[in-house]
Amino acid sequence: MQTRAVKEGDEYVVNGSKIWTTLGNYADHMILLARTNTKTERKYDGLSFFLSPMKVAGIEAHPIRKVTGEYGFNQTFFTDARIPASCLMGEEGGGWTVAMKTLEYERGVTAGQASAYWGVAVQVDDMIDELSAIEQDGEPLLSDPIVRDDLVGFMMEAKALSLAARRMAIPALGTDYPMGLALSVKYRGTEYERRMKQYTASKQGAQSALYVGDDDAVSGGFWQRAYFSNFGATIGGGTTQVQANIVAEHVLGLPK
Amino acid sequence: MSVTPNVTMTFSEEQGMLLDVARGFVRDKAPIDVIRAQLETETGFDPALWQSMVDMGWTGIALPDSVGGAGMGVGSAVPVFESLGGGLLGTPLLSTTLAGQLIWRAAGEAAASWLTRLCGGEVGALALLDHADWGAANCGVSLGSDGCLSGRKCFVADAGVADVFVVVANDNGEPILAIVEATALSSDALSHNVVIDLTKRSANVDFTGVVPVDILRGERVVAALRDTLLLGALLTASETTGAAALCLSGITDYLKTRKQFGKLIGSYQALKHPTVDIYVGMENARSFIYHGASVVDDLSRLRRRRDGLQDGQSGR
Ligand SMILES: Cc1cc2nc3c(=O)[nH]c(=O)nc-3n(C[C@H](O)[C@H](O)[C@H](O)COP(=O)(O)OP(=O)(O)OC[C@H]3O[C@@H](n4cnc5c(N)ncnc54)[C@H](O)[C@@H]3O)c2cc1C
Repeated sequence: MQTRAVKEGDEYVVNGSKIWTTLGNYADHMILLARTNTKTERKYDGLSFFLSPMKVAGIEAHPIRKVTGEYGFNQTFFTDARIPASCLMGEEGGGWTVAMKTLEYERGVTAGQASAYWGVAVQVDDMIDELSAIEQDGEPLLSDPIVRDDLVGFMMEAKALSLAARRMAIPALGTDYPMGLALSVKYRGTEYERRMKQYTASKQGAQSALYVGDDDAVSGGFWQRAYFSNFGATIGGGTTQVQANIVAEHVLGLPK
Repeated sequence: MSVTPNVTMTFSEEQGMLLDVARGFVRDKAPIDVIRAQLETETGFDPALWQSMVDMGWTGIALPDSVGGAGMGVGSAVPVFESLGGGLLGTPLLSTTLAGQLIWRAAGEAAASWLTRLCGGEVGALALLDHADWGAANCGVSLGSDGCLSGRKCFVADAGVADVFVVVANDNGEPILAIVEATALSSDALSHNVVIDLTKRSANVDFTGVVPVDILRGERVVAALRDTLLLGALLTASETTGAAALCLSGITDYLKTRKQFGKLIGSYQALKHPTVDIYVGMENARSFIYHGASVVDDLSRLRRRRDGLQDGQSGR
């Protein structure tokens, strides 16, 4: 973490850059984790958490085009940007702790998602509706027993996710692995959605290859874009692999 | 099309107590050395442990008070079966429970004498499958005009220790349940199956020539049988979920103690990540069995859907 914030009077002077600032070109404020001390023994202890204004001299957000063709991300540059010292949240040097707590919301551990990655929630019903319109060698795709089997698998995964959310409210059914359901929500949910969207896109025959902008694309290329977009969800807020490490270490107690 | 998924999940204080008591029972009375010793025996279970389970009322949890049960519903049996699976404890409780449910659902109070016996600790077995494969639709055991059964059943769980058999049979095409006492079987009626699961016992049973002591018939028989298959699926899933959780803790214990190349093997991601997937699968299964436990005592919604499907309507 190299972006620096140096205190001068009742201001901090910020220099450096951040990448993947979602919707940063529209935002009035941002969460900014910056290094206030370069000499601490543990690197984490040099970080501070700011709730910083974005519309100030020296802060510029440059949009980045995504593989889906959409925008949304930015690279944010800080050049001698001055922000009020009152923007500091918590203690100077205590930023990592605040950031980890914030990430619990982003990962859905604590009820109430602070940020949603995808605009439209795609349900297993949408998948079944889409696939019921598709034919394969003149037969409805859904008459294929292998496809049906796959769909039942997706329906069960979707239902298991909903049920887990219910079960979290029943402490007596969560004593073996306290916090386990909560800490694995992001891992389970985002990977399930990615596979579900990929499956729906892949079952469209040769039209699977068409993307948003082609008149012949099934549902205007919705599933292809949803699939690509979903990779964001498996990366942002901690990648799938990192989530799996967290579950292994904090839920199952496996060594680091 | 949109179907509101049923995600009912409730857990009563009684279920919580049963979960605690059953886990404690398994931990105290059936540690792994006891289980291992049991695997070697012919019957696969310990009559003294069985008696304690009977004394705690587990054989009657799901049956109504009027026939000697506790009237708590099948949903309350789920935590017990999960706990027994969690200790790999082989007992005839599943067979006895399902035999009781089938009799109760088919005949109600009229069959109270059988149900009271099952609640009191006699072992019940369900003689269901006619063939080794899944396509057991055509019932091969029939009741002759001489009052004798003919035909055999496959994979009858706990046949070797059962006191009472509920035999799914037909009488000139009419589905019936024949109640057979073990004492009526000929000495060579049973041929034991060698099954993978060492905690289970089952046998093929030849009922030819046996005169049933009771026959349950009527319009409720088929529905009772269908419901009992669902209950069997739920209780078996409960047991195996417990077993899966036990396997998972065995895996994590090993990953936390075994060292290779100077490191605990649990620190390798090649082992960590698949273990996390096992954990996720176990938790999903656990959510499903407690969802099942929450809805199983009112099967009307499921029945409507199932019957609709069988009439060729679409339904999800
Ligand atoms: C949709 C989206 C929105 C985002 N929004 C924001 C935002 O608003 N603000 C912001 O600051 N950032 C944002 N990000 C960035 C995000 O936080 C990072 O992309 C994410 O934390 C991964 O870090 P990285 O890109 O440096 O990848 P890396 O950490 O370099 O990962 C690269 C690969 O290595 C793997 N890997 C890394 N460490 C380990 C490990 N210990 N064990 C096993 N595998 C490992 C990862 O799983 C991945 O496959 C966003 C990203 C996305 C996709």
